[in-house]
Amino acid sequence: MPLVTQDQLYALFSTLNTWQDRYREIIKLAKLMPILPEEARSIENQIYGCENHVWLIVEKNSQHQLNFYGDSEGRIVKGLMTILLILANGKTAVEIAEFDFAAVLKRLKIIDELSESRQLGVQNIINKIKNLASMN
Amino acid sequence: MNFDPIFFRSQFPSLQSEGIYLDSAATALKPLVMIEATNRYYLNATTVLRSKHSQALALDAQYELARVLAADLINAPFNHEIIWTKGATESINLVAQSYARNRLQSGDEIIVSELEHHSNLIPWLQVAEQTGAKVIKWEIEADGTLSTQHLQLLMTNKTRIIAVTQMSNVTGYQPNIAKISQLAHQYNAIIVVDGAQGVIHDAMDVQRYDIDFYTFSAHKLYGPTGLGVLYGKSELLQQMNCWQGGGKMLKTTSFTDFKPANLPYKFEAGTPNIAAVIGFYAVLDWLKTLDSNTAERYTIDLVRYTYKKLCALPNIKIHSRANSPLLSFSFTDIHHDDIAILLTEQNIAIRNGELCAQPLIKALNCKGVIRASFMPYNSQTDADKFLFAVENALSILK
Repeated sequence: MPLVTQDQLYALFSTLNTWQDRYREIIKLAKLMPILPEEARSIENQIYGCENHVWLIVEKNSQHQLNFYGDSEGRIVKGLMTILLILANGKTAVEIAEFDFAAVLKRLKIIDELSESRQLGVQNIINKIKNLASMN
Repeated sequence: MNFDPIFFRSQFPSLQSEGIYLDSAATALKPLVMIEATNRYYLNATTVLRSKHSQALALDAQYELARVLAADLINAPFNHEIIWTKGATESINLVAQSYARNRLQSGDEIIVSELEHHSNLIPWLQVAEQTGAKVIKWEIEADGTLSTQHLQLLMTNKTRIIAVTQMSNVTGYQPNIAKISQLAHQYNAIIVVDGAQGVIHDAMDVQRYDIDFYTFSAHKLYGPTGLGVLYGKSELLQQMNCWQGGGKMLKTTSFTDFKPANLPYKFEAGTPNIAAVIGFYAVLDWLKTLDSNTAERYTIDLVRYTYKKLCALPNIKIHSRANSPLLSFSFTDIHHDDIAILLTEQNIAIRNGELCAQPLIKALNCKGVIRASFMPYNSQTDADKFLFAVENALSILK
């Protein structure tokens, strides 16, 4: 991670015409993210408000760039998280605070498709990314 | 009386939208009669049991008539044994705090079945913590049923309360309430039955089964939210402490004490949820015109049809009973949330996850389930669209 960039995501999703295809791609993207080891799947690293268990951790390098690792029991949520982390990884805390994740998801035609409760789930992950970034 | 599914369905305005509603076990859709009654109430809004102007008096009569209909529904001997609460959850908390808390002593035992919704578990854990009593788990058998022989082994001279559901909100299983009640009384314990799911499909006859406390929520029975019924035997309710203090739950008061009102008012402090009671009156009155046995058979047939088709899907595990109105399932290789997201995408309303029954989900050895729940307003088309959507979801997740 990241194996793809924001521009590559735009290119990839622009070729997808149906919601089914977009979901297939989201599920495929989930495979890019390694499974978190058991010790990282702790209650402290869990994101609440999701129907399945979702975990997120962060590391900072010497250039103050953040690298997130996440995992989820469900493949779709993991795929959505992979997209968010492609966007977040390599950025500094300040850059993440200013970054409009929802706008990118909208352009990828992902966010409009999700039901309101799922949008809330995605928002929870975005909030957690911003929250973790602000603490590092 | 006969049951006409097309006519029945036409009485639910929300079914005119495109989506397929299979989440009635969470809350039932509302018939037009209820919406209109609630609307009428708010157009002329006044209060009950307090003011003496003519509108208020007319409303008092209807308000109390709702209590009569609720008593009739469950064959309660006296109308004053029907207490209006916020819902089944509040009812059980009321029993735990007003009945159990003063009676339980350290070491006393409350038997709670493993099938229970958190609403029929947490209030008992809380009162156990307050009194030093113990909550004893009545485990389900390998086939998901509750064995009364097993229950008998758990009963001791310390058993005070048995808390059990009329119908599991996950599996649709209906325990043998008659036998459980008999065992409870044999040991001088009481039985508390959570009818939240069961009442919709088979209203409990509290006299026939000799039930001490029975509860249900109006909103699962086509009624408004924020209203529940607690039935309790008079002799138990009489002895109990008041639940909440406030207006109209007392006869007299001073700065030193108060004298509680008679039943049922001693448990109904404050201005009640009048709109909901009036709306529920309309529902209970309307339900009298429904041939509930035929309607229930129609629903079960619909579930059987869906059940049979689902069984053919790869790696599926069905957790619900074939003859129940619920269809709960999981896939061994797919997380329930992935299916649920893709069903939502296709405008199918279902529920997924632990369904407020974490201990049961654990016992079923899965992470959570997908639950499609049916009512007589559902149609064969609903079932077919649901099945199509599940197959579509599986093809995306392949």
